[in-house]
Amino acid sequence: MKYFVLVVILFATACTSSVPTLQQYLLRSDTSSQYAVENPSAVVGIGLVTVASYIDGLGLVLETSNREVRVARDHQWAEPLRESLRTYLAREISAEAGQVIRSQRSGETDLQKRIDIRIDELHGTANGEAKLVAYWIVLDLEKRSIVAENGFVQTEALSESGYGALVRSHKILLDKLAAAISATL
Amino acid sequence: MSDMKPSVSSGRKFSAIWILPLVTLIVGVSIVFNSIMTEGPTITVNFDTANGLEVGKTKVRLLNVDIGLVEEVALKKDMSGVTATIKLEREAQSLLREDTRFWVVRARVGAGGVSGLGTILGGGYIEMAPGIGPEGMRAFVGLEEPPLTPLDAPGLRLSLFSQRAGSITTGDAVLYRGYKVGRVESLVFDTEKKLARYDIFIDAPFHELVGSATRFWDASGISLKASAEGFEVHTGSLDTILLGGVAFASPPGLSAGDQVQNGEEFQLYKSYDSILKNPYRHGMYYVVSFQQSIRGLVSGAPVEYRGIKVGRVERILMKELTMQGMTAAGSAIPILIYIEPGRMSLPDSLDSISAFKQIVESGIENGLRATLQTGNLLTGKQLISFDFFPDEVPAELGTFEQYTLIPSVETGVGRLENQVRVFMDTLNALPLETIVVEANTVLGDVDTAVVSLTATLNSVNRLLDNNDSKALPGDLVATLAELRSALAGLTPESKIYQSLGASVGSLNSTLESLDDLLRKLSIKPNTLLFPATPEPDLIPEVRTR
Repeated sequence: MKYFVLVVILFATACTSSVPTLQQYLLRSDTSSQYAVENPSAVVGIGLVTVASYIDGLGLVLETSNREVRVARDHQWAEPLRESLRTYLAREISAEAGQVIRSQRSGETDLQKRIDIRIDELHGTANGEAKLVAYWIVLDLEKRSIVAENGFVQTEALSESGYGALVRSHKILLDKLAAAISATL
Repeated sequence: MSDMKPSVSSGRKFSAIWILPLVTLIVGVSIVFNSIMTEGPTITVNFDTANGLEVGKTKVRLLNVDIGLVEEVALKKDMSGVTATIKLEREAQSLLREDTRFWVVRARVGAGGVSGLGTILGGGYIEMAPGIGPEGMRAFVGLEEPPLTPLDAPGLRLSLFSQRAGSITTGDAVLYRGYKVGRVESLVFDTEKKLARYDIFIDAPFHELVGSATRFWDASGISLKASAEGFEVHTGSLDTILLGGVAFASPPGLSAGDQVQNGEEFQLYKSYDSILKNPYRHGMYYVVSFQQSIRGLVSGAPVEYRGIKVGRVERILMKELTMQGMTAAGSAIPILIYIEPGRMSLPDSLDSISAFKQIVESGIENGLRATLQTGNLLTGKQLISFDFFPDEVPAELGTFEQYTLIPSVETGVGRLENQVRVFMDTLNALPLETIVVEANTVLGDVDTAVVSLTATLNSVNRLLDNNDSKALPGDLVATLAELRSALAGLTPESKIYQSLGASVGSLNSTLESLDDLLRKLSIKPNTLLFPATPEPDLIPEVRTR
């Protein structure tokens, strides 16, 4: 009986400890997804989207100092970046370029141009900024040649403290990346 | 007593009776002297006939002023004409020059019109045209026809030579672009050159239109040319259609050339078209010789440089070759050619000829050779062509008679014949007998090999005739199509590739999480039962400025 009381007390103690709240952020474009295009000039699609391993998880990443990073446990993306970035960037580049950019979810093989994107860095920094380092290449599949090959490094200051502001800064940086990719089509 | 002395006179006294003869003598001498001093010269003029000449009646006129009278008309000793003795006024003495001309003016009806009608009633007279040569002439040859142009008229006198005397006669017009600028003064046959010579006069200032490159042609009659574009008619003025005439111009693309002087000689072409065929005056002669047959090469055949006509074949110098004597091996046949530098856009002048000679000389060093080419396969006509053959044996310019000899090479059938002959000589020199024996041995081995090969091929044929073998290509095509389809589904753009990539990504993420868990368990094995209190997430801080 004495052991039973001890176990009950132990569980009761465990249950009284506080449980952290999980914050999830959905990366979606704010542009309109309703459009209609007749006779598109060239069929362009997003090809390979790869992200660096340290941001391939769900937790948002914060660089503390001297290249030391901490992955947030309570602040996470609602879906992996390798999935959400494809849709997000396709929508943003479409809005910038004024043409449909297919996100390659339907398995088309008749693309005339393909955009391959690699995200090397996407995290918050210790000095209150969001940082994006990316690389992309535009391929002409008909001529089997490279149309453009570019790199992108930019930072965006947080508007306020907190992960919500970090996510907003990330979106601003991704919008700028979309504009830069659109200019090379 | 008176002295009676006889009176002695020293001689006879001058009788008064002598005064009259003396005066008469003085008067006579003065008359004779006056007559001598005022008398004009007496000249003789030869004419073919005495038509229109009357002693004591026929006058000599200059610009319708009487300056003399015919005193005597006598037959020449050889009966070839008459000699008129004419007494001229003293003032006319200075007009008697070497080239002073006389002719009888009488009524004439000719190509140039009707003249001298006034002489029908008043009788004929002799017209004199003063010359400009040295004075002192007393014997002249009269003209049968009145001269058309005064000697001192400003203009240009030229001589035109033609192979035959056409319809052009004295008095016909000389035209420049249809406008009359002169006339034909005379037509004679030059026995030395064996050519008809026309002396023409071109009035000033039109004589400046004539240059060294000017060409003259017979503009008489009407030129009618029928072609696919219809009929084309070329005519001169009405005078030239009816009476004939001479026209001149510079050939198209050529300037008039240098200024010409009186008396220069030109060729009279029979038509304007013949000028277009031979528009150049200056050229040079060369000789080329060929060892091969020259059948089909005739005078007038073109001489070309890479297809561009630069001259013509003048003649084959067989006579000169015969004079030199043919060798037993057979000498090369020399051919005289005429090359016109003007055809190569060089100026049609003597300077171009010397320049062209240097071009030929340097060209020979670089392989320029003459060849005999077939111009027309149907007729077999041949032409001489120049081209560069840098691989040929070096050669130099030679001489044949007074001409420069350009080295030649054999081409075409002749060259082929030589090559075949060399080939046959080489072939004859081969040890064919030995080769044939060895070849027979080899062929025996080959027969054996062929038998084996035939057996093998039969086996292969049987294998190919098998239905299973025939089905193989179809199956192979179908398999390749399926393989292509399958590979297409695995491209980076394919749905499978995308899904597979996502799945692998998720698997990687899971494995990394598992790796993280394992790392924690290795550090603290009771983590699962007693989890460490996690540190709260760092909050990104806004930068404070």
